[in-house]
Amino acid sequence: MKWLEKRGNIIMENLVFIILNLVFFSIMILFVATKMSSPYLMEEKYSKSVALMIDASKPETLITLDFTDVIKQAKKNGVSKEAVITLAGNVISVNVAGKNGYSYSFFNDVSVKSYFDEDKLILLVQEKTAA
Amino acid sequence: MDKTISIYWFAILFIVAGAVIYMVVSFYGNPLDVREMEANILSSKFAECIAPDNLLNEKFLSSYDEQIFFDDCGINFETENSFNWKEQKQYFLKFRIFNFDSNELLSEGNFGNSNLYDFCEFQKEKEQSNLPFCLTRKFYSIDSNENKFLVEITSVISKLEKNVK
Repeated sequence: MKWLEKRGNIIMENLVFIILNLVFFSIMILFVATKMSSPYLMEEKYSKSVALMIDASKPETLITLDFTDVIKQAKKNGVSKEAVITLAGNVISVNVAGKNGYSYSFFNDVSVKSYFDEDKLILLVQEKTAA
Repeated sequence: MDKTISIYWFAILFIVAGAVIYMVVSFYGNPLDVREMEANILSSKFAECIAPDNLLNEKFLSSYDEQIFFDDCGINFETENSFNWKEQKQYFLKFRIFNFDSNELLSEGNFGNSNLYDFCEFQKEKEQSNLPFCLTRKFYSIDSNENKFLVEITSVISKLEKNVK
């Protein structure tokens, strides 16, 4: 019966070893995933890409962007859909983390209107009219 | 024997974990540098203004007022009020127009923060990411009388605090 006991021990040791490895790799994947979906990173990524899109647009351009992930993350942090994106002059601010948000300016001297159609952000780039 | 293998195995795991953490933190800890794209767009926009449909806007051959440039070209160098950017402009644009045949300089103009242009001299041989980004583009153009010109545009974008760590 000793051989049976020894075999049981080997299986147990391997099982513990495999579980520990799985735990380790899960923690690693979780760490990378958390870093990738960080709200601060999202704010920076979206404010810069929207600013670049506006810079590259000509008047009468309509831009549609899928903001599903951003809105989901913002809601988690207590930010309403309407407060996610703010346009003031030629500065765009994206707030996902519920703090100050991230602002980036664009040099294209146009007037931009933004609104949400469900989870899609619509940007309407128009010629600036003299006040 | 088994214990020795496990110790080595866990040592390897720790090394792997350390490397992954280091790479992720250094990659995601750095801001996204979009200045090259910005400079490309700015150059294209200015090129369209200086030579719409590749026909040189003759206003640029005479002296050119900065405010007229901003109004005509639809460019706005105002930035957000962070890192003292309101006082120190983050953009600079320079244009030079040469006679295509004789290479004679006919006209030139600067717009924005001219101090930024000095950094382009340092980067002529090697680009340095911790300095303002410089981009020079040249193109051929003609005027209404079919005179040929070479137009050179240099765009400089600083915005270091938000693009470089």
